[in-house]
Amino acid sequence: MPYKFITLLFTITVALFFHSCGPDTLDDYSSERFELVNQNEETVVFPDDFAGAPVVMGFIYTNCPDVCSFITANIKKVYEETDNPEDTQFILVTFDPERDTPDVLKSYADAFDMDGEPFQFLTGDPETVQAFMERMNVRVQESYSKESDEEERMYFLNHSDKILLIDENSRLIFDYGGSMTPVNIIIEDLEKI
Amino acid sequence: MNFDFPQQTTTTNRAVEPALSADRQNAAKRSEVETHRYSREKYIYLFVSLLFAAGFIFTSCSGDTSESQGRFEGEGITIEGAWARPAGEGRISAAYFLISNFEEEPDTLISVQSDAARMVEVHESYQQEDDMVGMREVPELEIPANSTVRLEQGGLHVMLIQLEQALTEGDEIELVLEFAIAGEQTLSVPVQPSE
Repeated sequence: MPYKFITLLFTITVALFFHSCGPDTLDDYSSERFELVNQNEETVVFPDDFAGAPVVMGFIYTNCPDVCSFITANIKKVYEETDNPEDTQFILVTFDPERDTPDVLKSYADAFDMDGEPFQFLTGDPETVQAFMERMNVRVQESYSKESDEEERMYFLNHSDKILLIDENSRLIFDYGGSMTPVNIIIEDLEKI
Repeated sequence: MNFDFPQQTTTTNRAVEPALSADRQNAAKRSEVETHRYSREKYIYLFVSLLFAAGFIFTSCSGDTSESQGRFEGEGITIEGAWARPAGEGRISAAYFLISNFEEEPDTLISVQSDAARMVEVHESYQQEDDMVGMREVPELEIPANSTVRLEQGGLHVMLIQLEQALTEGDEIELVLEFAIAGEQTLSVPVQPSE
């Protein structure tokens, strides 16, 4: 009798454990509508144009050659090391739309050998990008600025460091530290959904 | 809810020991001796394990910025493992490398120059308390005596601001590093996507 009871208890615990390990929804973007522009100057609407396939999304600005490049390189590694990368969309969105025009994003994408499917680099008008970042919980603030030799103002930004995993129904499944999360963890989660 | 656990049996009970037969008493004594010997062996194992653990902690924690003892040999300032990120013309890139100071005195990196960019600065990315990351300029970078300072992704790096020309994989750029004591060192840096 005790053994039967312990077996039953064990089975229930294992079932609960696996149930709790499945991807839960952290947020739902399906009712949102943000009109953005990609590196090829094509208008895209988030999330409608991305629904139907999982999205790995990072947030960057191109005047940040260290952490943001790290995030970009991590997203490329996820693509390279995932079993079926063609089933996933890889998106990087700038939070510095004044400087990161489609042309600048195209040059940035090209430097990473990411200017083409399934990668997209998105920008937009400043108001839309700001609203988008607020909705995605990406915080941005100017840290400091300086004058270049040509008296051009250069500024740098403090920002959230994150990569999001969004499912095919536009629901947020995982929220990672963008530059610090080991790529294999994102790949494992991506393969679960 | 009640659980039926089996009753725990007592293995040694000195109150009933006189009632035991001679054989059983001898067996009990042997058992005590073996238990005592087992306890002594246990302590020896514990002591040896602690020694190993202490040795492991000592070797893995000694010298945060310096290389493992015994392999840290050289002269003056040595730079290795350099690479820079690809980037478009007019854009920003970053260069990374390790600086080892084999001298008994600390030295300081006071400037980095390059023809590859209009501005070259040492910066540091850092994590803020509110889960944001920031970047700040490091005007002077101290290299402690007998230590290695790592310029690596997500930390210290050389900023190449407003590139004179696009950097693509396979290119090489030259950096001139000026140290307060060691003077100038010229460094050839290959461009590659990531380390």
